[in-house]
Amino acid sequence: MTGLASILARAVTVAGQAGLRATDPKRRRMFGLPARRRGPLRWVARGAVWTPALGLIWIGDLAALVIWMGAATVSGWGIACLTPALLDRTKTRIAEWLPWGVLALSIAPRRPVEDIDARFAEMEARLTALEAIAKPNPDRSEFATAGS
Amino acid sequence: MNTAKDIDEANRHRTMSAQMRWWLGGSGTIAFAILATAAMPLWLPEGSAGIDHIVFPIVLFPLTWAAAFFYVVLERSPKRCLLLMLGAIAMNGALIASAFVGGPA
Amino acid sequence: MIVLSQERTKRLVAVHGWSGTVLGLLLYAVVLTGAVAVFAHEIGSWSRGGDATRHGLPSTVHRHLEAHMGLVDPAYHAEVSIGTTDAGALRLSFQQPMTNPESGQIEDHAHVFHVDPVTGETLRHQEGFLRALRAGEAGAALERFLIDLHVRLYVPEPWGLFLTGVLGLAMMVAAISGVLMHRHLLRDLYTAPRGRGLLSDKRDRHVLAAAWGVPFSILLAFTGAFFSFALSLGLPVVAMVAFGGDQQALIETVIGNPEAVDPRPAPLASLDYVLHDSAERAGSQPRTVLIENTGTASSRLTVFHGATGGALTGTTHMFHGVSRAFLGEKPTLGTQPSAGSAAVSLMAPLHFGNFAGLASKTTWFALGLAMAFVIATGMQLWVRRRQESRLWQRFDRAVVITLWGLPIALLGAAVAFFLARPVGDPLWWTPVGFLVAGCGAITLGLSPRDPAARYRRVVALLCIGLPVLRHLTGGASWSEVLLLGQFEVLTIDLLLLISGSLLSLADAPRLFLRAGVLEPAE
Repeated sequence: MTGLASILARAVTVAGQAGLRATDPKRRRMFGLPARRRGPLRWVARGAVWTPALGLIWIGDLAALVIWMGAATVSGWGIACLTPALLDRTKTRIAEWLPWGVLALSIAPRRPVEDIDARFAEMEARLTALEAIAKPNPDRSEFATAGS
Repeated sequence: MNTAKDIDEANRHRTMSAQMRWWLGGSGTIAFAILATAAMPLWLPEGSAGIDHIVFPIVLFPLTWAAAFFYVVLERSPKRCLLLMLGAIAMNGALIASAFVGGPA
Repeated sequence: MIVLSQERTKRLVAVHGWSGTVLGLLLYAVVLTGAVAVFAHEIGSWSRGGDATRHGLPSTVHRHLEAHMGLVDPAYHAEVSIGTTDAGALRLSFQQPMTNPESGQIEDHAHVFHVDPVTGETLRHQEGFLRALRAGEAGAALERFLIDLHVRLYVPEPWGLFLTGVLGLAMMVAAISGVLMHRHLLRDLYTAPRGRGLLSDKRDRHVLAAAWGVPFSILLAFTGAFFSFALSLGLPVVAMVAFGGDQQALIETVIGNPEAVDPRPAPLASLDYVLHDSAERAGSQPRTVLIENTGTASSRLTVFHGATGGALTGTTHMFHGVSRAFLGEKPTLGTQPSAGSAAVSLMAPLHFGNFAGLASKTTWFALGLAMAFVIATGMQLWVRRRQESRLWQRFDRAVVITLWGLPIALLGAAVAFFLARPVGDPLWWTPVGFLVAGCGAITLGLSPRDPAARYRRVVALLCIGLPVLRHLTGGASWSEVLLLGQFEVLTIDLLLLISGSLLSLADAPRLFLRAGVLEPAE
């Protein structure tokens, strides 16, 4: 009983946590994702996170409840750690390392980067600007030496 | 307008408060926790099995210490903090002393 | 959201930082060894080459007990403990309290028999103080070392317990102060670091792990501090006031005052019947049995069962030793159910996570690792913010050495255990292996270059090498353990091999680059 109830409870909670992660407004802002319209999804996710605990209390499985509490904190942390960049990197790494590359690439398609040339150009421009600031100006140093 | 003497005085006062808080948070809270644990069997109810007054002080020792420690850290007035901690230590000490004078429970 | 004044927040930040930094390295050691010690028994079983599958006590207990009772002085019938050994034999321990001349304390002196459950043949007979007999079990050297390291950091009693108790309190302080000073704990539960390599990323990483882990950090720190202080400080302090310093009287009151002994001889009731009755009442097979005043009219049987049916704690039944009448359930403490007994009985399952087999143990292991991660990232964050100071730069290196050095030293202890098992004394060599590997790790970390990559290679090598070494030094092969159903051996071997391979893979691109197999990225 403990085993089955515990596994089921954890699975539902993990799904709820994934939903909360996907709809978290602060997280979406941080990663530059478009804001979501207010809808029931966030409440459904909250329900999925907490309902298993109520269920376990209802059936009186204290051991499964305590395991659920521990597992929920670990899985929540793991899910929150998964940034879009990390997910992409992991998929790419798997695709590179698996021997059957074609299949791997098909399950882990690289995310197409839009307007890549424009972004490269922008980065190069910023780099040039930074280099200009960082480089010591020979004229100015000579002037400073002469002046002192 | 604050004179240099006033500023010196304020700094000295702040350093003294910090030092006092440091000592209270360290040895003060440990002394309080040990004395409170020792005194608890004298006033806690025995419970249905006659063991609660012995068991709970031991179980609660880490929490007793933590409560005292966070009180010392968060209390706004250093003077009140000192008085309350010394009062609590003295009260528990007196309870223990009364138990020894009157013979063990 | 908790709003505190600037002054209070400043004090909390100082308390949080210093409690996590000054004791951080030791705290990391206690927490990481604690996470590993959750599987101490499984690791012990792996190191012994697999234990026998336990099916509870055999149905022939009574016959074997009677056959061995005559072999010892009747004074040892005062207390008989019956259980099973790791190898699956029946373990009969006839014991009586005696003053140990070495410690000067009253301890149980015992005759311990390991008996073949089928034939009743005596496989082994030991005589001595129980504590010394347990400490001398060479097969349990690795398991015991892990537990000792976690419980008292190998510092002599009671100082080791004081030290780990203080570390538990420090962990509580760090966790609670973290909650108080972090104003948006719930709002930031899904705020992941953006991976820009900045200090704020390190902070985010630390805060995220800490925010999720905080309830269990407080729980594990509290229960750990309880276990450290209960016997070393709480018991003597309470005994001093409530029992005039008589700790024995306190223990007798708490456990339940023994009834007056009726010395008239009377035959022991059928153990097999009592065990069957107890199993039906508990819904699980008995683990151990304790018989007091065996062979007298006041004989009493106490039967212990593990936790089942969604409970956190096991059940204990009492039976009359002559009439075999059921006397009722025995609470952990006292003779009647009480809040105090319930509170104490929850401490062990909540700290050890051993109440539901692998499911709870795996969860507790993960919680331990998460806590170790929080401590490690916290120390790194504290140090990186003070990188200008030479003292903190040195501490930074000490952090790196400890983070990697501890796993290396633990793996070194296992290597020493396996090397010493066929030729020497694993009880002595296991801690020596830990020290030698630890010193090696420190030496490796003292070079001016960043040692992380080298550390990773050493850990990978040790992880991959251990299963091979286990097999070469006389450990069971995979086919043997599969045949006998000893899955702990196979699982731990595989986990080590996978961990080692993953760590090697992290290094692989650089190695391939060096060998010219891969082209450097443009």
